[in-house]
Amino acid sequence: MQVRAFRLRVAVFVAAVLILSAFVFSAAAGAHNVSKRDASFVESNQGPAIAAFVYLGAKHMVTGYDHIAFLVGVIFFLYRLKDIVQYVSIFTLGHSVTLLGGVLGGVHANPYMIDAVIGLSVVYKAFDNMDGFRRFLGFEPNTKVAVLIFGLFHGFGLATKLQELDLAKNGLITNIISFNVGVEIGQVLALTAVLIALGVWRTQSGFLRQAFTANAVLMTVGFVLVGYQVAGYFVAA
Amino acid sequence: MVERSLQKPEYLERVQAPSKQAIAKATGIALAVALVILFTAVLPAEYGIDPLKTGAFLHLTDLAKASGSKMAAKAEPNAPIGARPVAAPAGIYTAQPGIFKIDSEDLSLMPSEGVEIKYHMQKGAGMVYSWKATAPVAFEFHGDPDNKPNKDYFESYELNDQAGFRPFQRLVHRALHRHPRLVLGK
Repeated sequence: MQVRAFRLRVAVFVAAVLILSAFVFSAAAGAHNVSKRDASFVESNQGPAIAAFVYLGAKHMVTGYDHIAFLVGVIFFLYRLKDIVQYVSIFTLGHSVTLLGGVLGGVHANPYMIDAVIGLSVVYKAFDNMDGFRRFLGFEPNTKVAVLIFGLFHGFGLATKLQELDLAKNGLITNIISFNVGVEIGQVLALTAVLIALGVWRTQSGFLRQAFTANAVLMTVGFVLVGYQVAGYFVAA
Repeated sequence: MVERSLQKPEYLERVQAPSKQAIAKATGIALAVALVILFTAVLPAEYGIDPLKTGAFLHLTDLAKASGSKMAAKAEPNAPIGARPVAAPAGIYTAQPGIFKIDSEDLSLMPSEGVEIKYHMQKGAGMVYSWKATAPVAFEFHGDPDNKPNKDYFESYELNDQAGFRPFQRLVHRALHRHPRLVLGK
């Protein structure tokens, strides 16, 4: 019985590390960007296309490893459904405001810098999960405020990427709202998968020890994202 | 199951909060591993930046060459249909390293509609194009350099304003130092 539990623990740990490092390798595949085929659809589209934009939003979120990495960090130590819903709602509120406001107001930002901040948000949350802020600063910055602020940046990143494409004015509001709804659907799908994996892992007695390592891996992913985007900024300049 | 009894607080109480040293060490390791991943894999594969030559060793820089930088991708709105190695033709061309990008596109034009197909190319790069129309279209083929002498500067290579009604096909080879633009339609 002991041996079995130990083996299971090892297996879950290895699986978790593999899943997290898969984020790193998908970074190399550039999964985050709206693919060229989807981009040419968006550019040639005229008028409202609700289903297509909902789909694109959901796809963007499910394949957007940087958003998912951040959400993994946010819900890592959240156990009650009420808390999860609360935090995810705060994140959703943040990124909806800047996605809608950014596109409709035509606010541009450098996409590399925005994505670098998103990478930094992953590092921040991983450090927070390691208890780094309480240890080094003596207090933990308000997690809800941090999630809201990073949510604003995540939405701004989405808005900047959508604006790189030539969006038709015709049906713009409908399409952006559809895209945002799709983002939420994709977020729920991605979160469900993450929660199932975390749920299994948490029942293992070694979870708390492994959690520290897992957050160090998450932080690595964040640092890779920051470096990837900062390098992109200088290459494009 | 010790954890079960600890589910009450919003954030689970850490049984043994990690020490400052442990956190600093983990953060340092995370940063170091990230730098190794960046310099050995991500930068060579994404941007062709290869200071440690690991990209060349693992053939990761081929990815950067095949997809081009993000900038180049943005300047070429036509999605590549497929890219496969093609032998460089002999003649006035310089052999191009790496692989060719091959695009093809079907367009429908209504009367008085037009379309411009743009490419951003390296100086001295070659381009081969052919097209076929099923109705009379006017066309023009021109290029302009990155640093134009004046705003409206361009060099026209081909112009046909009275294309008769006949399905036809053209194959034009040019060694270009410019942005070639093929304009179809009237």
